[in-house]
Amino acid sequence: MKEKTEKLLPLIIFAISGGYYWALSSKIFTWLYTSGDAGDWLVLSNWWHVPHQWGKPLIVLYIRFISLFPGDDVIKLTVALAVIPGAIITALVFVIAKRVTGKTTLGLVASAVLLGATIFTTQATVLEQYIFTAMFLTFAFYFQIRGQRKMTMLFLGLTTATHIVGLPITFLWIVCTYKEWREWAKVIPIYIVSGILPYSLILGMMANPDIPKLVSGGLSWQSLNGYLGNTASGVNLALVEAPRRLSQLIPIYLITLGLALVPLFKGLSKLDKLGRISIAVMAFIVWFYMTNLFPSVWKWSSLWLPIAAVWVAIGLTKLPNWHTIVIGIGAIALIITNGFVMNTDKLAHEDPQATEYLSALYELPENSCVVIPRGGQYGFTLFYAMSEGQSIIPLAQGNPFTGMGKSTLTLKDDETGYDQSYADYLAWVNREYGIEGEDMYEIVQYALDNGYNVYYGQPMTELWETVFKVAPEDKDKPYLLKVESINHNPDFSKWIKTE
Amino acid sequence: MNIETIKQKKYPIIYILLAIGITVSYLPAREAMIPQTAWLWVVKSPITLNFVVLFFLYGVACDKMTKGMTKKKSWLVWGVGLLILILLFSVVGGMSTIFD
Repeated sequence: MKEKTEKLLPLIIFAISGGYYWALSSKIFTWLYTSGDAGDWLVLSNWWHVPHQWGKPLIVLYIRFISLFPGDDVIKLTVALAVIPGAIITALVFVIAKRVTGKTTLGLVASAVLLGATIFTTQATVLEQYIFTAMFLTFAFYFQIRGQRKMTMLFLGLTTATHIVGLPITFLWIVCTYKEWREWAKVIPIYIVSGILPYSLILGMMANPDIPKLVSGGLSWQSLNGYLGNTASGVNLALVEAPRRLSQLIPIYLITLGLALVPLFKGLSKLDKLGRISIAVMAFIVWFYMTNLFPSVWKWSSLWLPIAAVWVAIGLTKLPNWHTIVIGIGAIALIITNGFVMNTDKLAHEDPQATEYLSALYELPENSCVVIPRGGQYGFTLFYAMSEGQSIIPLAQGNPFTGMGKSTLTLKDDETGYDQSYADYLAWVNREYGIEGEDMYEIVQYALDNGYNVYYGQPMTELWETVFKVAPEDKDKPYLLKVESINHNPDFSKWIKTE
Repeated sequence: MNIETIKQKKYPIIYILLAIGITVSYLPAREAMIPQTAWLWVVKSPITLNFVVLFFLYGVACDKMTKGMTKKKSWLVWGVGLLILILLFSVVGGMSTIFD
């Protein structure tokens, strides 16, 4: 009887954690935890579309598959990308921890630690990609422990096909076991097939002129450079910002791992091969968070938290039994606290910014033109409204840092350049909607001259106020301000190539 | 409490301190996690945190590699390491020009 129950434990853990994540998950479209990319994933429910960098081909295919099923897009994708993978990982952590420690209790404690991990809970209850990627990485870790190299490589490949972070992680994984490079070399083709080749889907979609050129352009070296090269937010945090970032990082990790920090450090105090791999994965992601201009990169830690939970169990084997009780109680306390204080569904309903914006888009007159960046929470939401059939013409806005249209990413003062990706967008918007122009000024001017209703899509900033003159009655609106005219700002104009 | 007592009660003390830390941190951490708008911390500075991280790693790596080497070889390793470091900074510096 006991044996039978033990065999069922992973399923029971899957059911409990799945129920927990489902209960807390947002049932409405939300941008909580800076999940503004949700709109980008939702577009894929309706269209083949190149999502933001660097494509994530497996997620594209997965969402296209999920879209075959009936139901609300937000709920379907939240369950498929976050809730179910979250529950699978929690059960898998139990299996791994039990295997490495030989103790069912420690397996249960490891699962509880993960279930109480606040970062993980946020990502398992919102429409985001990180838990889906973490699932493949946790499987890779599982097969590494089992010594199944081919399967490890397969799952590292699948991690890479869902998020490019899999590439440096795989590199570090192999470096940490460099003495086995001959064995790794033999299975590298599995990685190439499962992790690298899927990216040809992204290239294929870029090459297809019928796929909207909203986020990426067509297929060319210049366009790829614009699409893939836009990664300057990573690794650039100024040294003077380090204390402030640290003061954010420490509380977030404290409420994520809680008391389990003690056995985690104990577990990692003596490093074997598995320990080196684990430390490398954790250190890489923590470093990326510490040095990123985006303060919201804490959520990437969802990738290593399952591995950390296993090390908590390993650490507990080196400590007296009373520690297990303390860590278990601490984890349960966090599970309960998060259940009340980090209830994503409740938080989303209390401040429904995303659904309000989506509703405002649906209320626009037919064939309205909306000036919008080629991404970000407002841009992606607008693309989703378009994919749902709302008649909106997107007038893509150049990034203030990258110029207003035909420019490269690193223009300064008297330099000029050419953004092929934007040129591809201009050609697409012309084909689809007949909008003419060579840069943002010209397409907006064309829309105004031809009697379209033109709106500024997102909250107005001081920078863009110098460019767009909005209707006085709209000045206090949070977004979708009616544009009356567009002015050439000389500070921007000098960045634009004139032919 | 003397040193021996503290050593004996090390873990209970750590757990109590951690529990206090978690309680005090919970709401500030929550506030840092729940925003709906993405934004960047952009401070124009040539000295990035990575500058320090890379310099530290360079020192540790070269120190480890040059143990037992002759002075001449040791200078060579530190020199090549410095070149690699300059190369890395060029890449990072190139990327950061976007925010100039």
